[in-house]
Amino acid sequence: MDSFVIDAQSGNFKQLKNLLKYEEALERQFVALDNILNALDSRNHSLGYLLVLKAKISDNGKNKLTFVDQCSHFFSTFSTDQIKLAPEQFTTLSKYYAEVLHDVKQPIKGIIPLKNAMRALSDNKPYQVLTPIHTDLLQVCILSKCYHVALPIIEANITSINPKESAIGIKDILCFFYYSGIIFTALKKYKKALEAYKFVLTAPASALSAIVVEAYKKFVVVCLIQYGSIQHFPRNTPTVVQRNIKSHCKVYMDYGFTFPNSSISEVQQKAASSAELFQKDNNWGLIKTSIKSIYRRNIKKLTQTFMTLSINDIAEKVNLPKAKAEQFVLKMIEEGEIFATINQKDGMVSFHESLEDFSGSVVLEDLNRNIRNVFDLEKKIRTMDESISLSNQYLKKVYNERKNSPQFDE
Amino acid sequence: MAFTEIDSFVKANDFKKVRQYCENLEIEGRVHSKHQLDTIKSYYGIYMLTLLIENDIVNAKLLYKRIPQDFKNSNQPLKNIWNIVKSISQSDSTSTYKALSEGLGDDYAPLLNTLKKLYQSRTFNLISDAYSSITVNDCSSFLGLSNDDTISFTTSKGWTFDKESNTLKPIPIPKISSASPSGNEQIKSLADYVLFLEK
Repeated sequence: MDSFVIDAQSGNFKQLKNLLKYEEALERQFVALDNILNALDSRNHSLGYLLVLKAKISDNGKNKLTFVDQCSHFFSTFSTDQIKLAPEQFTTLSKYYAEVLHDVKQPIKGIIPLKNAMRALSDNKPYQVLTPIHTDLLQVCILSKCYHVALPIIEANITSINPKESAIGIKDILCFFYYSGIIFTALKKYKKALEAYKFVLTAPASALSAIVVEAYKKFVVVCLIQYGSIQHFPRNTPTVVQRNIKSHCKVYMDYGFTFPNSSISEVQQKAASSAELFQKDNNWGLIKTSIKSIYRRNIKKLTQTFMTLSINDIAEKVNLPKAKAEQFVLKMIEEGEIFATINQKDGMVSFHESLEDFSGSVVLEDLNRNIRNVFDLEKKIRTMDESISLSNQYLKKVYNERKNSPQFDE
Repeated sequence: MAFTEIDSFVKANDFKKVRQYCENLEIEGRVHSKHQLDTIKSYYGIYMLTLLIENDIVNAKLLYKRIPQDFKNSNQPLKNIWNIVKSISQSDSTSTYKALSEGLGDDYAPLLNTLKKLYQSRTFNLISDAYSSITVNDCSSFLGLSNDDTISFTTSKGWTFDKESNTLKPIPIPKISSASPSGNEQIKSLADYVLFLEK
């Protein structure tokens, strides 16, 4: 172990790379690990520190709180150059760190250290390059209910990954979008949640993964909240997902099919009959929200058939008590879901067309913003197109095809 | 408890900064010693009030879920503030005004006053748009004023009062359109678009 400490303290990069061969030896020496940590400095000897912490993962007798403190200290003070020599170990440690935080019930402690780690592993571009640490950070945010911390990360459209530098794998990517969906749902941004779940569903796959199944269950319920019916699969969903997923989510599909044509009480009955399963999947809150959304959709439908309606009639048609009906309509007006005016003297509600003046400057700004988004997207696609057409794989394929297919006379 | 750190922000009515301060305190404080934990606890009330001032009910509810249970049970100001959150999210103006008038001590007073004024003006804007005729009783519960005060306040804003049916006729508030972009900016945007399409 002394030789390990001496090697770890050297400043020479070549010698540092040799440290990796000590990994197995460290895992057999649990008792000495704390002492070794004391001899090392996390900023100057980051690689050695990292390897010792990683070896501690398999030590089941360790003090978890001390381990958490040691990791937090490490993630706040490491030196980026050194840990880049061992990205796999770094990401394994961060994943385990997130799990231990959950075990000791202090997930909020991990937010700042993991943010620091995420910035380092993505070359200081955390909003452009995805790393496994992004996923661990999202997990910690969800466990500690600090959804607002995660929001800027998931709202930025991250499009690059660097598997060699960050040791990222498909499981990390699927989990990242699954957690994004959960966070968007908690913040009630249902449209964005659906987009995130769609990313999980359309990831290329040759077999069905449990992450995709769970994402689909939540996708179904959020579809019901937002649209009142289950959306079809996006066109680029892999066939293995399309064919097999429904058999795993039969209860959810049945629940979704009752939505379009049944009354609220029928839907409530259907939900109650499978309540245990929904609770086990942690989706019971979502199911309750989907039932509440039925009232909104019914009122919205009324605006398409009637010009004016009395408050009593609205209450009857939507199955709400009279006092609540007026409050409900007021809330929908406040949120901009319907355009109407309430006349208390006559007890009538008049529905209007959308009052939006599509020639105003607000709409112009919106339009400008969306066009610029398309510009950025086009730039990204252009760079990706260039890099693919210059890649070895593509050129080989084109060359082989040219060789094999007959040439037409010019 | 004097909230000295955020005093300057509150005086300048810059509630965004107060919110940021509270957010950072909650997350960074946990990495350090227990003393910081007590400071965080004393700021929960302020944090929640700031979220209400910004009309961010979703995050106020999530904050309540994060606060430890024993603190929720023991701290009276927090209980009162939570009552305000509940009444606002249920759109119950009567109980909101009642909860707002419960004194929480001088430290919270400036925030409570700002919140009350904002809530009143938001509700006023809403009912001006949403109602073409409203009873005086309902209107006074929306605005938290007595019937006579309601009548004088609204008629001063241009509403008409119908004595026989005891109703008020609101005037919808004209929407102020924001400044349209200058001519130069518009030409620049158009030039960019044409160049892009020519690519």
